[in-house]
Amino acid sequence: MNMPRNPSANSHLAVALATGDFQVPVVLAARSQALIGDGIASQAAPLSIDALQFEILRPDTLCIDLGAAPVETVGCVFYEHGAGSKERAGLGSGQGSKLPSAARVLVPNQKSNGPITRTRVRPPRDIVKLADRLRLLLEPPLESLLASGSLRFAHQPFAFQLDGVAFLYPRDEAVLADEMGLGKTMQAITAVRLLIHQKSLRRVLLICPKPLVSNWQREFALWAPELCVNVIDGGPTRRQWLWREAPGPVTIANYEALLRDRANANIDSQHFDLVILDEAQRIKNRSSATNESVRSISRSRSWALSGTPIENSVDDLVGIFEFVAPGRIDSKMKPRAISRAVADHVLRRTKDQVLTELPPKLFRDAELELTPEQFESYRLAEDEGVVRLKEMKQAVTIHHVFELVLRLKQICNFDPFTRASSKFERLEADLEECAASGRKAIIFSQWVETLVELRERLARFGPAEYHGQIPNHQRDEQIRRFREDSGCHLMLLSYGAGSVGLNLQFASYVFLFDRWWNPAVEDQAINRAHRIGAEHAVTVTRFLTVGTIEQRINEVLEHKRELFDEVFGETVTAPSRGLSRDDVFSLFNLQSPPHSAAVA
Amino acid sequence: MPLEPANPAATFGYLSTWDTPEHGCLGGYLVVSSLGRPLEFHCTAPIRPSRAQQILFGPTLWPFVMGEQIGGALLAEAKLRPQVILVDHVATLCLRPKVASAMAYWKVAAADGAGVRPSESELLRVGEWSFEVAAGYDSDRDTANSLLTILSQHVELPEPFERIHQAIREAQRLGGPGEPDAYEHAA
Repeated sequence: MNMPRNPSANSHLAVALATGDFQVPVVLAARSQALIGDGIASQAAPLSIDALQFEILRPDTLCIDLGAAPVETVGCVFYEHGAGSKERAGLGSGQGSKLPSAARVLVPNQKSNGPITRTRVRPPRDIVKLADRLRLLLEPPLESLLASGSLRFAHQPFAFQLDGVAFLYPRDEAVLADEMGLGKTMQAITAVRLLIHQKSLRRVLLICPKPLVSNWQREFALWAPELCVNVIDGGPTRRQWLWREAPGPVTIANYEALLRDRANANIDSQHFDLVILDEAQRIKNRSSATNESVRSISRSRSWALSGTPIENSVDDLVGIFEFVAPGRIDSKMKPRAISRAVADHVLRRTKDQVLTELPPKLFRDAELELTPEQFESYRLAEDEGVVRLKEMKQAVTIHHVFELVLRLKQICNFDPFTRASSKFERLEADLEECAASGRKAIIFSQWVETLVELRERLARFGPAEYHGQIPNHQRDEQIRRFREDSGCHLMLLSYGAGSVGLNLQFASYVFLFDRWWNPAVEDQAINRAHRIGAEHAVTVTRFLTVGTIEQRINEVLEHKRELFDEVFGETVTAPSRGLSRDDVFSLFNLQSPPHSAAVA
Repeated sequence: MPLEPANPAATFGYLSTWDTPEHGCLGGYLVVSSLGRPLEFHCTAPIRPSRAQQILFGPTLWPFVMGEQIGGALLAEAKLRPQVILVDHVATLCLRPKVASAMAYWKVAAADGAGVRPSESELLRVGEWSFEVAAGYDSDRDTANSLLTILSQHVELPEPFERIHQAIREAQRLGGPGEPDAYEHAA
């Protein structure tokens, strides 16, 4: 800072601020002035310099890191690169029939102006590893899988059938319990076909009742014509060879052949990638040789098909699950607990749920009075029978009671002496109407003798027959005649032979001449006509003679329906049991002897 | 009908990124064969841009988050290098300079606020679907056209995006709500 030299300058010095480093030395100077007379004498005061340094603070800065933090990822690799070349459709090496001329590539179901439906494969709950679950979720829709494998279909499957295929596809343990007539066969065959094409299955064993073997052969030819299918039949030597050396991926055997050949063919030492049981209620008895035989087969996957997984009690389902998933349920569990335990392993749909386009099923129960002749015979038989049972006291067994029940039921059909029958009178009148309208009817009875009598008395309707007295090699002809002969208006079937596996959807009337012990078998019988392909409503007439044993049995059957709904339906009702020993004795107001057990 | 696809070695990538209010930004990457079968899958944990990022990135936020962060991480993790990568968020097209594969954005009908969009004549059409390629990479149009035509014979082209979303939902479900800590690597 420069100081002025002239002391006479103003006393206030201009302060020149030094610039630069934020240091501002401030110099304060004062010039004193003394006044002496007229003269002004001034004298410069000594300057003192005080330097104050003011440091201007650096302002706070805020640094925002906008850089990218590492992003966590997880991933799965499913196939080795080059998997495209592995994705060829693997056809069976054996002989396969030609593709049906009408075969077509599956296309997704699409309603007009609606979204395309895609059937996704969902992983079952017992697949816990994330990678395995993701592998299934990341598969293309079923429609794409089927199309990409060049899998052609004779008919476009229903959407619910593709859902059934998607249900079976990822599961090692499954029960397909769709109501009869919804195409369980087609769904199982399609799932097998898809898995074989993807090389997930190499050996498949299908076990079914003997009468259905030819049906399965036809279905495989229709839905999977490229697959080589072997049938265990013929003499012992041929069967042994087939069990060991059969070419192709699929083998069909009946339950009886399995029992017969188990030891000789050393079946237990063989392994199957998949074993399917058709009409799986055949193994409901856990202690039966059949149940033990199927359980002993070495397998990776176990599927069971049954429209009636519970015929009498939950023990039936337990028996099936001893094959499908041993230990998952037991007979001590309550029905609701069983329902929860099997929920992810069982798929059941009813026609009402999925086939809204199917014509309706109309029930027209015929409650009839016995004819006077029948009534007299019935009263005598019941009174004498009950007296006899009471006289036996502790010696009476369930078989004695059954004998009386069956005898009374037969009287409800026809009077033993005069052959009078109120049921026949009603049936004949209904058949007149049926024939006049050009429709066809099927009639079920549990007795062949009843069917034979009906055949004779209804000869003018040209009846066909399908029961135990008809040899196997004639049965297909009977069905063909019933289907194609316009003069054949009815078919007479027994519950045993005719209630499973037959496709009679061209019949519009079903008559249950006498009732079966449980409603499941009756449903199977009715669904021979009311199934996919039915063009008309199906009218079901169930005959019941009032005030008789038939009416009392019917009341017990209603309880059985409630039990089935409790496990497989959403209604919550009081638990109920099947026809127990006490129930049977109570039909005649008898006290059952000690040691009761479920009998039917 | 031939049993093998015309180009069995062709693979296709599907990169899906999206923003959810509850979890933040997520991404999944699925590589499929020419038959649409899954070959490889990766997904990210959710990330959420900070407030500062939202402000300071401005309109470049989505390309940064969806593209560089999520998309970049997924593509870096993948072992397979597909010939074509389809994306469902236009912001991820910004990855094109960093990958060797052709990229195409599946143009959905709804606007996604990405600024100036190409005209209809500049779009790539395969069947009933339209695709947009990254600016300056016109050759991707021909590459994608030929390969996607093959894929479209077996798969509805946008359908694998649904699978990615399902798979991520499943992973989140197993890991708890919003906390995909149940992820695991698997060969």
